[in-house]
Amino acid sequence: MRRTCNMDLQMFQNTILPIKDKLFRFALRIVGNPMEAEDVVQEVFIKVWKGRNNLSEIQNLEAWCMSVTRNLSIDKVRSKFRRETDLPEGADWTDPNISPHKSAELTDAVSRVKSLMAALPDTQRQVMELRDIEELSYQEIADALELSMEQVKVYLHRARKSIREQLIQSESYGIQ
Amino acid sequence: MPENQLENNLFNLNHMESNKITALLEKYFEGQTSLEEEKQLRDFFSKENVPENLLPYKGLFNYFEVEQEASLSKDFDEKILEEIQKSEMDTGIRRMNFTWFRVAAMLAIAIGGLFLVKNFNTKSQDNTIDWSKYEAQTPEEAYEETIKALALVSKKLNAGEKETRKGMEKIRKINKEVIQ
Repeated sequence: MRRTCNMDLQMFQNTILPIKDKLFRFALRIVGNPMEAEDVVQEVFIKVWKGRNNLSEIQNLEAWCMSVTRNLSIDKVRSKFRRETDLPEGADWTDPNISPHKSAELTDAVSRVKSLMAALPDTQRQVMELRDIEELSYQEIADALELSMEQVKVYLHRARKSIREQLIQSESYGIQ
Repeated sequence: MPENQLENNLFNLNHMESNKITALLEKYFEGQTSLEEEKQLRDFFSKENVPENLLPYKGLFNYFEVEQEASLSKDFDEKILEEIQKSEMDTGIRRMNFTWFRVAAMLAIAIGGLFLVKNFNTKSQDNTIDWSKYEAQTPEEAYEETIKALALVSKKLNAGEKETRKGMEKIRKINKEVIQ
């Protein structure tokens, strides 16, 4: 009994822990706060650990983790929204996901892309982020966002096209 | 001149790369690139000297790289492993309690079973009637019991005789009437 526990922990450390930052970023883009995003990832991992005996039923563990992360993050945003509807906007909403050293790296062009991305419709943005930042396969994105492969391709194409048009537009206006 | 040729080669190489990237970009915006090709694009745009015609896209691919850097706090692994051990201990305690519960349940069943068996045996003894206490102990008692029994028989016989006499009486009456 003890031995299988150790083996599971080993497996957990080798296969689940390495995707922590991916899950963290995914959660971060939904909840918008690093502390809460970390809580979400922790919850996901505890969930994986507790259900480790049933994990063989899941085909793609990473996509499954992404999907759980997404649902928990959405729950978090909803409950936070409920809690804070009467309160003025919290200070942690201003720009919590950028640490000081990171914001220094953000050039104008990068900030411009950041705002263009933020303006995309939610699903388009999520698909593009999962592909271009998290490097997920189409199938993994489909599993994580509960979409069909076809939908993933359509959303990705639309998102990239829309970003491109705006980039070219701003270039021709001399804004960069 | 060899130096010029080197420059030329470099120019050609850059030109070729830039062409290749332009083609990749088209493919990218069509949503047709592989993950590997997308990495090539990010790598290309992370360089300092990007050709001017490709500059509008530099921000996009740099943005992806910046976003890829966001990561969890360093002590996260430690925290999560601690949480896991805690939950493991909880399950351990629960498992142990369950074992004790099972032992206790088994004991209860065993004791209960024994008690039942014992109880059943005593009850079945109670159920068999001890006729010996109804048996006569002395000859006098035996005599009395016999008299009682004979009296009972006599009483029943007398009752029968009475009924017979009544019947005979009726027959006699009928006979008289018939003769007259």
